[in-house]
Amino acid sequence: MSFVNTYLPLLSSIVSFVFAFFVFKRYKARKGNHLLLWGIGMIFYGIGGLMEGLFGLYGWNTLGFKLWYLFGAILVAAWLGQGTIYLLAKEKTAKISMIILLILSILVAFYVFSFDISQPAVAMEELSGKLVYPDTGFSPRKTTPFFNIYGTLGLVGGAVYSAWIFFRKRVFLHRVLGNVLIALGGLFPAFGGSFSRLGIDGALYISEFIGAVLMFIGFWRATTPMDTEKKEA
Amino acid sequence: MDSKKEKNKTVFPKIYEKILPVIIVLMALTVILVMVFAAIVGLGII
Repeated sequence: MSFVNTYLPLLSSIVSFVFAFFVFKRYKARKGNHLLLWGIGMIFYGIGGLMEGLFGLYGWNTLGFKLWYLFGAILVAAWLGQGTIYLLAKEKTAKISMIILLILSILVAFYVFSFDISQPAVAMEELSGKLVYPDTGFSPRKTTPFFNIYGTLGLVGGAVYSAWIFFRKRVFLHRVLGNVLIALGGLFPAFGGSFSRLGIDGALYISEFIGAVLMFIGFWRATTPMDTEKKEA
Repeated sequence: MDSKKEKNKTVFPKIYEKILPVIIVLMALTVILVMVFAAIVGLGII
């Protein structure tokens, strides 16, 4: 048991659930499908971190691994990205992509829970799909790049695009800064996930924590106007 | 509509005028690089 593979993911989980609470609170007040999807995405983020922390505390659990893989490794980025797509894309595009994502999410959930796995013979310091799923043949692990590339493009690409649009128009500095932080926060787990696939220990958990914190600060910044913003007469 | 836009228009401090375009462009490039990296690693090319 170490700080990085036990308490850090638990901290990420707490940050994610608190973040989700504020997103849902805003959704309750203002509505908007993007807020609902971001809230759901942060719940997924929190479940992923919680399973990582529980694994660090109590060791292997098949259900815990499957929950971690489904929510933390496959779905989280895609659902957060879908929120941004709802915010930026045309309604028809957002609805069609949402239906496709929902169907694929249900299918992949069945696949993850029906795929037979067992505790790997090699001792795991942290949860890893690489050691659990077979290298050859099709497995849930093969689905992660598609969900994560779609999600990262939606979340990070969307945040960068929003930041650029607001900057170009010289409006809402707080939203420019907020979107830059959200984009940066979204990049961390994307990097960490890729490094984790290469077998670099700790990369995923550290990047997830930094990502959750940056996205939370970014969300707060984007939704809170700055005192220094002077309105033109 | 135009008056609404004008009302919302803000003056960005100089420091933000200088660093934000650089950061945003760098981040856009990073997104592309991460996507390529993730695709290469995730699809098992390396």
